[in-house]
Amino acid sequence: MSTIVEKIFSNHIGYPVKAGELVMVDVDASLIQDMNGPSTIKNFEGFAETVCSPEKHLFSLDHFSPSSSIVAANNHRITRQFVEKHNISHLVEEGKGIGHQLMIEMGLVAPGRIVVGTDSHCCHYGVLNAFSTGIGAAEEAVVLASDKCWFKVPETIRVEFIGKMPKNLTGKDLALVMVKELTQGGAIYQCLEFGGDTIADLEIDERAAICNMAVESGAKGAIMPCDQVLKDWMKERGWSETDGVSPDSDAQYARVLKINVSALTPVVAVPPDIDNVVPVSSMEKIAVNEVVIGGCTNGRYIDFFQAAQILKGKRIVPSVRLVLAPASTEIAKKMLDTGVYEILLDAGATILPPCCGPCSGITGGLVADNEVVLATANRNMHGRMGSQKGKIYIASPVVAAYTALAGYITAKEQML
Amino acid sequence: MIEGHARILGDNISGDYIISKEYIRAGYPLKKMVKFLFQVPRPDLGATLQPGDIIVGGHNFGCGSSREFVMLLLKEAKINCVIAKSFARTFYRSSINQGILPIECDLDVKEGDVISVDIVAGTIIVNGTTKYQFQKFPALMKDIVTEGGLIPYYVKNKGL
Repeated sequence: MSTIVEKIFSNHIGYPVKAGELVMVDVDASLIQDMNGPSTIKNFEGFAETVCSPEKHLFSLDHFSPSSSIVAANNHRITRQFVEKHNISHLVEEGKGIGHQLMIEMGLVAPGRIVVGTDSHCCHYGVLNAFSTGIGAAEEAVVLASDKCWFKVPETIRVEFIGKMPKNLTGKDLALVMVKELTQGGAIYQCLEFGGDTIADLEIDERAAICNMAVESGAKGAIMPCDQVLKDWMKERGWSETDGVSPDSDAQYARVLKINVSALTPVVAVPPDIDNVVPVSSMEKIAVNEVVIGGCTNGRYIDFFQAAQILKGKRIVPSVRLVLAPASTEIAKKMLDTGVYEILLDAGATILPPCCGPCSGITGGLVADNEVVLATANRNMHGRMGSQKGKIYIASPVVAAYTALAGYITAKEQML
Repeated sequence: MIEGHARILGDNISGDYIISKEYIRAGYPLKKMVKFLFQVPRPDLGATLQPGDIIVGGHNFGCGSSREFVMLLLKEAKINCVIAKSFARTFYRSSINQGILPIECDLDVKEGDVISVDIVAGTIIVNGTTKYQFQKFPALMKDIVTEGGLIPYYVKNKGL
């Protein structure tokens, strides 16, 4: 009678545990990004000499990438020196991708694993049927030194998506509707576990957006099932076969949230709250200055493919800057191979090297005072993507593409 | 016993609202950043924070990008305790790991009220009169905070 997360913790410590119990576990992998990397290193060097398992960790230079200032460049240098000194197996260089995507591509995440990292969006890795969550720099330093981390086994909210996906609806819309239903902070300390017949229709890329945004509801983790879609995905990448972890049919949930997707239409999160989610069709005409597609939430191949379907052979309006940030070199190469890259360039897009881009508000197309941006990012509070006086609307790559063509927020083609 | 004046904030105070990215981008030293704490939700707060003040938030305190860095900034401002109706979990953990007390309690307080916290008894007294109870910390967490944070605890116990 256990949930997925209860089983994952039980498997790690060797005896059955339930939600609410405090446990100490050896984590299987971790991510250290460049915002918290320098303080993780400083913390580590204050008390430890040896990294316990150098093969388990990935350092990523992605937020201040390519080096956005002298301070950032120096921090990146310190990180490289640490990685070299301790023989850390994985380093994502500037402009090569976003840590979260590389954790997946490099095989550090797999079904049933426990993964942590110094970033709130580490809940992303649940897309591969793992439990993962964000931790702080001091805690990460202890993970580097010992592999160990303490957890309270979380309660689970079961989220079921039901029904057939309508045209133009994406995983991102499901993520936003879910955050609206759960509300900001409505799932704090709890883990989300996904199910329902819609999931089978979603590719891994689209599921990732849902897991990624779970933290916007405060969730500790967000776990997708290990179904045929995931098994095929792993097989394609040459990974060993696994059945993953499934919940018992009598597992106990804190709450079951059912979302019928068949009647949904594309949505937008209205600033400054990520749970203020409304249908695009209900909005007045809001002109935008910038459209951003990319980042860890929606910077995967499917996101650019969906945008390219809409932008093919067309030009964005001159009043809009379209900024794209692929989440990895692998994704950028696939965009090149399939012609998606060229379609987007021809439509007028600026394509950044693989990095976090303007989503984290550090570099690569920041928003000016009083400007409006429509982004496929994950947060829309004041100042997140640049000026505190800017406004950030969050939506899917489909809405982003139509908006770039029209110059204002819309989910369909406009007759100009 | 911890005693200080209440400084009031609302719900959903995110990492980006504790300190705006503007100042992180600029690479300001901590000392220079203190006066910009909580600038978006309460522009007056950072410059008037006094050592020992107790931050009182609403629901979901520390949500969004919860960077451990903000703990160092709160420590720089000599803030030792944050009381909120609920916390985002990364903030809660980092707070314990850096030796700042995060207490979950629904207080009815005004700006400047005097708050006294007894961590052993699990009680809060406001203005010497109104008494509140909060759930006591599990032993591990209390020991970590008492040692001044996770790393001092790790060093003292030679591991976790």
